[in-house]
Amino acid sequence: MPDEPSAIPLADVLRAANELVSAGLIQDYALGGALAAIYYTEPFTTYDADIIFVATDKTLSAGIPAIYSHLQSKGWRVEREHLLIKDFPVQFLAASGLTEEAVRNARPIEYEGVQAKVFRPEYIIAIAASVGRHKDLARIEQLMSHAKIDKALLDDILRRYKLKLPKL
Amino acid sequence: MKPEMRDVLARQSFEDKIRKVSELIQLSRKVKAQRAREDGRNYPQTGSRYPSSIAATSPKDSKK
Repeated sequence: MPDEPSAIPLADVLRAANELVSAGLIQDYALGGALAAIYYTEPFTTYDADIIFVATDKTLSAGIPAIYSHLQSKGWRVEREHLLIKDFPVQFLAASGLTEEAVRNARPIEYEGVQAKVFRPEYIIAIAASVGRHKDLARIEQLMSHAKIDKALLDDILRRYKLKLPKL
Repeated sequence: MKPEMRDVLARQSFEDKIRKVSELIQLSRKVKAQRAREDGRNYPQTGSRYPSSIAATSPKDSKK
């Protein structure tokens, strides 16, 4: 794991993701993972950002080599599964199924003047339910407590993807 | 943390929340560095993060 950075350069991350869309390297993207949850809940510690993207290249590689080349040409570094900007680790993850639907229905936001999208809480909950680690259960609890949840949408997502919420 | 306090924090702007996360990361870094310094003071002879009794019986050593 890389050293923890002193600040999160989220605007730079989102700007870079927008450039990937403009360059045609990805179709669409949204902020997912812990930072997406923090959009709706109180802040908590996390050490990376997850950018979930819909690939333009539908082959097995999902265009990841081209994405890496593009970002490295802009000064990003590669360290294991992360790309680093200003020492902050970012994971670019190809969307499919539930995560692709989450990207396509993500909420438009503006962060420090940068247009971006963030997963809706119903999708964060469904994805967390599908993964089911301790931290995912905690994320569900936080979102159910603090975010405005569209219950009908959440139930529909859970039903279609055959998921169940854990007992909290 | 009290639920009301969590609600207040959850209602902050995303920019403010990301700044708070950055502060939490810095704090975590300080705590880790302090812990590493303390370990260095406690177990200087072994050069290990473990006490000599544990370091001597680590699986790595027992293979020798």
